[in-house]
Amino acid sequence: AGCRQAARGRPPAPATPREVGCVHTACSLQQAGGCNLPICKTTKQVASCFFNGRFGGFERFGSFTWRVTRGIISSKDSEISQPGNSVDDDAIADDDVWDDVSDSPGHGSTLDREWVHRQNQFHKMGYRDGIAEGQKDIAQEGFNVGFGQSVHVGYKWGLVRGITSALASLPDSLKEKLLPNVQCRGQLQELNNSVQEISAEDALQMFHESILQSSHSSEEPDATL
Amino acid sequence: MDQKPKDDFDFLEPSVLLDETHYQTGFKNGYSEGLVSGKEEGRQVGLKNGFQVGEELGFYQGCLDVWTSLVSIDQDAFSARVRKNIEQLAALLRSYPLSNPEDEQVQDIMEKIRLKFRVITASLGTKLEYQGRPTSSKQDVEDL
Repeated sequence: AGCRQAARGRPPAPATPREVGCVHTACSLQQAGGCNLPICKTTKQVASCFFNGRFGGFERFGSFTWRVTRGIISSKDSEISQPGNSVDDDAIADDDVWDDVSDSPGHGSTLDREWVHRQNQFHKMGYRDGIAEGQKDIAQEGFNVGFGQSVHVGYKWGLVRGITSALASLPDSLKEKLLPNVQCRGQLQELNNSVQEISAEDALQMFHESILQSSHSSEEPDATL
Repeated sequence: MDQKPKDDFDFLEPSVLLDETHYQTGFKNGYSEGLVSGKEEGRQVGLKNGFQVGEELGFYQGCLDVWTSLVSIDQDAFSARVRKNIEQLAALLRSYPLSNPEDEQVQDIMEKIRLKFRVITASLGTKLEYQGRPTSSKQDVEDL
């Protein structure tokens, strides 16, 4: 509302369109409607996803509570390596199964041990080849699942970064043309400062944590905002 | 001719067959396990790669939105050459198959987008650039 009033207060220039560009969502996150310039539509969508959704409110976003520590990153690594551990456990289990042999004395026991050892070897060879083949066959499918779950979230975050960075890089004269309201410009500058505090790696880590939380809270991760 | 008697048999054959049976049993079990672990590993790589690709494209789109909004307000905000480059960037971004990571053209289009973006920012005289990890992203692509 403040933006619109300020816009109407200025005398319209001949070359200026009726609706002066204004990022309503930056001043009033709940603002509905507004002008139709692409930046307003985009920022509105972005804001509705990030500022009121998964990443919490604007104030919380600005307080840098989303910084992550290196320790958490290490935790992430251990999470990713978890499937490998399960494979090793299975291999150990197989060893246990095949090592369960009755110990009969004499020549017969020697043959028995050799025979069981041979069976065990072939089973393990097949098991390892099977693991490798299965992983290879499913890799692309798994990648596509993960990619589909994250690409649009990353895209929306990138929009926030792009819009705030581009605005901050404009000369003051162009900023004033695009955003006549001083309060709007101030809000967006503050938003840009907050965004710059979060590196690409930080953002990726935040997303990963949100995925983990979704997985724990429900069976299927709800990554698509 | 020296032919084998009919009732003769390869005394090693049963042993070989049994070995093959054990191998196949192990392979079958391993394959099932591999499908589970492989899908999760692939998904983790896809999550990381997808977020990075999405973020970079979103960054360029966000910058584009600011520039196009400005041009719609003031045609003289940018030179004709810059406006042309902005339109070309818009076309490139529209052509990127965001939902199809297997498309063979994604890397080529991304390189064109990056190049066009640098042309625009150079013309504008701004230090604006994507702060992600292009090198790391390239590594991921090469790993695939």
